[in-house]
Amino acid sequence: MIQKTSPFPDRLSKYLQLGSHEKARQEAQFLWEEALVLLKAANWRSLLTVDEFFDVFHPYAESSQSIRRLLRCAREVWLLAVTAGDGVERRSREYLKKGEAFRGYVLDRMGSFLAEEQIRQVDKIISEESTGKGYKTTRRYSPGYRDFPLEAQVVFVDLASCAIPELRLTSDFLLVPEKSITAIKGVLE
Amino acid sequence: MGTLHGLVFPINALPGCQLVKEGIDRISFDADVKSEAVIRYYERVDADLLFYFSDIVIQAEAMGAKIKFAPDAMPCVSETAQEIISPSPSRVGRMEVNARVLRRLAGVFPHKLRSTLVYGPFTVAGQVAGEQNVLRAIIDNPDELEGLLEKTLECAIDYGRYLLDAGADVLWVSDPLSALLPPELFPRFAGDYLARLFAIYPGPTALHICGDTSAMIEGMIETGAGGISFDQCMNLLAVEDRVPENIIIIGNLDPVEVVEMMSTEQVAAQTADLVSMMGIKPNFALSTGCALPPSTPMDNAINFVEEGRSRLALLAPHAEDLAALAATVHKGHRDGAATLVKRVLNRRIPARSIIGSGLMRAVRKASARYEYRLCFLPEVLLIVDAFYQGYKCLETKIDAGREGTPQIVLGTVKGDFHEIGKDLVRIMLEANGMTVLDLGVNVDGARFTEAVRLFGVSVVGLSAFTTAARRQLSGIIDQFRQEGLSHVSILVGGAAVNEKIARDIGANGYGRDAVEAVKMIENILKRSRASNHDPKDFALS
Repeated sequence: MIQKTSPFPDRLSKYLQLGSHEKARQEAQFLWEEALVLLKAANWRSLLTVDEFFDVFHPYAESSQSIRRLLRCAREVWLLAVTAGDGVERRSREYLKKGEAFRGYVLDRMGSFLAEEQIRQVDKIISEESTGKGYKTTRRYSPGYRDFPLEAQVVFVDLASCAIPELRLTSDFLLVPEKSITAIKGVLE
Repeated sequence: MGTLHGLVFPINALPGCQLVKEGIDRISFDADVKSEAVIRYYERVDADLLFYFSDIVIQAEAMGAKIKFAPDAMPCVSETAQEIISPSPSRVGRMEVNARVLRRLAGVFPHKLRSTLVYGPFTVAGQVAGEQNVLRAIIDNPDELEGLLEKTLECAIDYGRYLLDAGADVLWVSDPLSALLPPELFPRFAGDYLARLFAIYPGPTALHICGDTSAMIEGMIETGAGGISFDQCMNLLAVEDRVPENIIIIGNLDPVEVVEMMSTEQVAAQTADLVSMMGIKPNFALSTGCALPPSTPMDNAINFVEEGRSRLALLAPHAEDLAALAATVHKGHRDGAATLVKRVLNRRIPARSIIGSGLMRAVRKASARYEYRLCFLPEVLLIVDAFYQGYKCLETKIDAGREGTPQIVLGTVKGDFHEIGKDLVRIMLEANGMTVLDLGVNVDGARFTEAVRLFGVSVVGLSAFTTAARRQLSGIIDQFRQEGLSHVSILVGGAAVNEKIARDIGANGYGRDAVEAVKMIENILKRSRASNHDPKDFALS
């Protein structure tokens, strides 16, 4: 898991497409340190049986062909939610308002990177735990993918509210803070 | 650096045919008529480097190819050579005509440089043996092709020497067919022969190859040519760093779409723009991207040279300072940009030059490099930031400010609150000198159409990051059409759309990212201004 003191990850350079521009790399290093200070990471996960999952996510899951296909051989379903907090995205907007496009853009991308890193870590832990118990897992699947409607975010936000109280939704079911991700992951028979 | 630096000239002298009553066929054979056409042309067009109305097939004809002549078209090969002839230029009538014209030019314009126009061995091989045959022979029969190239090289060397003896000062070689060679084969089938051709002359030399030569620039430089003449399709800002300072970058105003087809004022504006970008380079010569067509309006050719020369002269005293500023901005040094702007202001360099040739040059170079996939978006944005830091020091010095009627309306569509992508497009547009009305996020169709009506804007950019927002796009586009605003060009962008979706919903274009969106909008506005046409006609959908 990325900590407040994590060094600039090698993968981040590629993710940000910094290329070989010396100044861009220097600035990105500075922004990484700023991003870590602003990071307010939180995550949550919960395990449901398949029946419970379809019950809790009624009617969003059962109307989704892709979810039914994903969970065809599943016995249980993990629910995942992570956030990087709103600090990074707010600072990113401040930079853009000041006309500092590089800092605004790069910090925004770093926010996305931090949220993705978190969910990758949670995903990895779930996979390892399941493997240890002799089960395989499906890939992660998020509201908004194919026919899994964004409205399903309502359920995530409700269930994760204790662990991530700041997580909420816009009227169009977009997550706030923006640098947040929810997903399901099936545990196969 | 050679004597080509700082010159202003269109390539060749073909519009001269308008100044005599005889047709091109007669001009091609008659030294008196050709001299009259060329001299009259250069009496009007005050170019620094003179050509003698050359046609591309003269060496092929001398080597046995049959040529078709017509009064209203340039000569072309009608039949490849049955037998390859090794000609002696002094015994080939049309070569002798050109030598005589060169001598007359020397008499009438003794203080001006005169140039050969010799065609490269590979191009001539294609003319005498058939272009497809030659391109096939690269794989099937390279040894035989090399034998042919030795002969076309011999002809080019003889012809070049003959013209230099007749008073030419510059050995100019054009080798258009070599642009079709795979870059790795360029040295073997074109570059090495060109090098042997250039080796005959210690004076100024130049190599012109038509088309996109970005993959063979190093090969062109290795020929030993003292100047590289770039086609109009090349963005000089993207390739300038690959050309050593002792080699002249020659280019590259569009001879057809600009000089031939635009108005005199637009030719002047485009020339000024090119000079603004390239005039600060110590190794730059202003020219056209290829020969001006015979039908080019004479006033346009005249205006190109006059405007170019006066713009270069205005820039010359400040070139070094402006180049330093452009380089600092290009490195993304925000504080350095501000410091240098203040310094050049103290030296009384006009604010417009500081913006055009210093600050904006760096942004346009970054965009050009991005377009050529030489850098990524963050680098472009870093340079845009440095641009703004420098620009802030200038804002009070600009008479006609950037505030004013918006040219473009931008917004993230209803249901979507993502603003980063849209903000980047706005920042990039403003850095490129355009005025933008940013409606913000969660904008419905009515607000877009209202803004367009209020300001008479002709380009709208819609951003959509989410699937829900994407669904809004076609409705907004329909609303424009239904409300009689179908003349408005609508571009879409954002993570939720792609080129196919853009087409499907009836958008006029799709911008993959901020740089591409800006390029697209720039093109729409530029071409709209050029022809006073409806901007949507030029959208890239």
